[in-house]
Amino acid sequence: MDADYDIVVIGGGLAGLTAGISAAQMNANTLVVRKGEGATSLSSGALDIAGYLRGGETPFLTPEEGVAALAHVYPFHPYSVLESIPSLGLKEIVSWLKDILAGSPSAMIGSHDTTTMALTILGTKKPTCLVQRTMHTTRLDNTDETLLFAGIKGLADFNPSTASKALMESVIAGETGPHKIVHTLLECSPFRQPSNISPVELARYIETEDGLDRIIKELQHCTEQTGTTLIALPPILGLVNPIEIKKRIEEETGTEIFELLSFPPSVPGYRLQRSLEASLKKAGGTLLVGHEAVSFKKQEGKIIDITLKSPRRTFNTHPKSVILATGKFVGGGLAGNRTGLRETVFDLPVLDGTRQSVQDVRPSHLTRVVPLHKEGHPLFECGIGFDTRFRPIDVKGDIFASNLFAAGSVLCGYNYPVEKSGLGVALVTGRICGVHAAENVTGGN
Amino acid sequence: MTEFDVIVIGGGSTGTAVARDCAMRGLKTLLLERDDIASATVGTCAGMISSGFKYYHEPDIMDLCSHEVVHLKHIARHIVAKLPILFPLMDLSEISSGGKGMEEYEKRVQERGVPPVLILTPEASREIEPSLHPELIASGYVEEFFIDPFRLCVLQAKDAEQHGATIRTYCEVTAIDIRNGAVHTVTYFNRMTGTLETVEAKVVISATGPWASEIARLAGISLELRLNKGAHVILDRRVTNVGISTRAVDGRWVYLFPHENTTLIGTTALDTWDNPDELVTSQDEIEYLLRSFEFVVPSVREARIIRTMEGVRPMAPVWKVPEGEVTRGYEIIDHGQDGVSGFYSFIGGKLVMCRHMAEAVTDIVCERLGVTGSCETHIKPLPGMSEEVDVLMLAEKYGVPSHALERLKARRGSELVEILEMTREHPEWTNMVCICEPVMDAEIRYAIRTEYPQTLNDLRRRVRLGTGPCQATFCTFKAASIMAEELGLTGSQTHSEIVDYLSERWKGKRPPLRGAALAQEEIVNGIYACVGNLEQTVIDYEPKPWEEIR
Repeated sequence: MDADYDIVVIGGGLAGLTAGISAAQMNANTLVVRKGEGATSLSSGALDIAGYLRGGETPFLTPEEGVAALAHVYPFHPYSVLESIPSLGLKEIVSWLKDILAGSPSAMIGSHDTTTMALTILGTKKPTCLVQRTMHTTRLDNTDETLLFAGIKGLADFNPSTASKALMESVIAGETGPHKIVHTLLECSPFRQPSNISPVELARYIETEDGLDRIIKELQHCTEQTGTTLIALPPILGLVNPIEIKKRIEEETGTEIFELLSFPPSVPGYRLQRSLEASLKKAGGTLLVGHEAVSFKKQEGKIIDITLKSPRRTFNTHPKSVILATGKFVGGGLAGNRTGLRETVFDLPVLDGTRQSVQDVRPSHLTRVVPLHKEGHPLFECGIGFDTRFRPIDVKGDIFASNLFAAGSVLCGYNYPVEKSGLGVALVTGRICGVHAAENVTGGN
Repeated sequence: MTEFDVIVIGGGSTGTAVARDCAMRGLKTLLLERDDIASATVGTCAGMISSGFKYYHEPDIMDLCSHEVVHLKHIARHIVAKLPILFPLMDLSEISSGGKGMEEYEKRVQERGVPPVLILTPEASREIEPSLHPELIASGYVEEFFIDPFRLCVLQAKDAEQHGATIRTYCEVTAIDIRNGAVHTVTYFNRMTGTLETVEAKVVISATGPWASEIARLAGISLELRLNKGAHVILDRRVTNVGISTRAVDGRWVYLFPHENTTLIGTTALDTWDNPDELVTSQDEIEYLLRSFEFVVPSVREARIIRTMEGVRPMAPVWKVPEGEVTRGYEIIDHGQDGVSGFYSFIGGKLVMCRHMAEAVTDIVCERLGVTGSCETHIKPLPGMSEEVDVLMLAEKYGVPSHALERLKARRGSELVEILEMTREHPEWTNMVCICEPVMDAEIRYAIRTEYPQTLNDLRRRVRLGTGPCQATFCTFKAASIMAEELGLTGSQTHSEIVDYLSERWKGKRPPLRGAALAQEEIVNGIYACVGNLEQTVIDYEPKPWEEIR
């Protein structure tokens, strides 16, 4: 069986879907294939663009400033390509994404010229750019708010007492924030479970009428006793209608509520993933889940054939452009054994952040002696090299194929855990690759 | 100044056993441990309470080992388990080497209730263990006993405490003062309070394993040991049903043991002069162990390595022979011979002998102090070993999965019921905080309340938190919050605790980093750096010894 598409995107996380949506919007017949669930759904659901320089301690004032700084300090950073593409600036890309997600469960708030310090379930803050509407608050800096951290009994993922202590300590140490912080555990035993509740179960529970009533009653009781004006919840406000749920709770309690940034399993990550998939469909693209690119054919410097395989079938496509967006280690785009790292689909050379080959470097040599380090592990800067059109380069430094583009964390040159640039690079590179690939198809450029 | 009859230095298997014996015989006893109970040598062993099979050229040692297995089964049945071990033979030449050993072994099987050495056909061997190499020609079959080394030490310490001993963890001895040729006072730095404290002692016993020379030096005594590093590789699952022992690439014996939810492969043997705190497993040690097992379990590399661990054998100073030929017997050095009476050090010994070592030194101490009374450490059971526990009934009664309770029972014996009782008032404490092992919220609280852990790493030794395939990725922040609630930690202390525990786990995860572990590390950094921003938040992190040197 053969299936023909103008563009095949391998990988369906934020980078792949952004690329797929961009291409489909330009009327290219686009297929996005994805092996598993991808790493985007494991994300906090906030979209970081640029938080710090590696080793830096002061967050950038704006994501825009951060992108420029990263591009300037690290010439091989994916952001450094942005300068050469005036038509696709950060501002345009950010507002494009906001438009795409407008009206979806993960509608985004924020802008390329404001760094948002978002509150996490540990009570720490991290710099980010866009947050989902359900995660948004402007009142965290008001000193006269009474902030309630509300956990759920039986949900081990979030301990409101730790979070409130940590935030209170930072306020005492001089940071701006509410001067009154309280915490509570709501009792709701979703689906009669007293313990081992997952955030996803809670999100489903809150979408039932009983569940929502129960949580509202618990919150009302607590806010009345404490005079709460602002409520921080773990991200559980539903998978499908979180914005309506947020509004309803706010009306019933007379407070503002927002979701904290959280760890996997992540409800906002799941929402973001699903919203992007819906956008792809709306733009006319096709998504195939459970399919892996297993082999390819190259002729005259072009990829002419990709073989896709699922447990039940194997088929070939003959795309005019291919976009590789398979992610890093979690996504499966890179793999490593004790002797070195490799790229999993095209066997492209894997390079470190300074573009030295790490094909034969033992992974532990790419790490630091401590697990968390402000400079980050060089391991996470590894990936494939690219030219100014995000076309992967081979060992000799030449482009691997004129119609192959790559986006997201399969690329080398950035260290997202410490830069706080993960989904930002995925968005920017995905958007640029999608546009380039579509132009390649329609004959432009 | 407080005066003690006995000060025991070292909270490993021997130190806690000595404290227990001394306390049970009515001596006023203080145990000082510079870190946590079972935090060093004993915490890096496989937990085998060996019959002494390997030491057939030392029949006395085999007698001692075998008797001690019987005693440990009697006092700590709840933390002892039996494991069959196969010795696969690939070559006829390997058969001849075992004759004398088998003979000595078989003399002592009856008291332990195990069969004599059985020789199995290739078919029978592969029926028991299908992952064995198809071309093996036969295998030997024996049964050995294992004890949870962390629980043994903690239970000995708890029992000592119940008999009136004082247990002080995080107290590092800094000086031993001598008056009139005898020990007089011991000064220690209390790392929890940051203060120096001095106590008087009639007798000081150093049960400090590889640190025995250092402690002796505090009393002006030179004590020689032969230190030998041994490393383990730990796999993410039980790759075999039974233990396997084989000759390594250099002809030494190495083993592979399914252990809790993981597999231990060990050990290497390298003479070392480094600081034991700074040692990390090397690539060569990892390859040595994997390559050695490939001969008999060809699929051994298919499992994922979750970490390595390393310890140091405090052997007697016997030189010019390989590690395996150094006596495994122990020696009590009476430093009266060096001009400091009332001061004793242990050298040598094995886990299985810890109770015996304690009995021997306590006899000496009692004689010195004119105390009568005989040893009862082999008669009286350790805490938790009372009536049988019906796991299925309890699982239903308290709404906890039975597989989790089985594991809880293997750590806790009858204490299990007290832990489950805590969940009556707090049903949410049946949360599985560590899903890999699994470990329940209530057990963590129980351990914090009764077993003096000061850090998450201490908690790991009490409850096996974070020791499974995810290596504490998902339990660290949850357990830190529970610890914060129970111990009243501040927010920043809680964050430091998280980073501290991740660092401790990283020590063993880093050397074998490859394959799926790369994705695991990306998730760790995704959680704690990318989202948690802890690399920016935690400012009072104290570097670990192995971090400072490289």
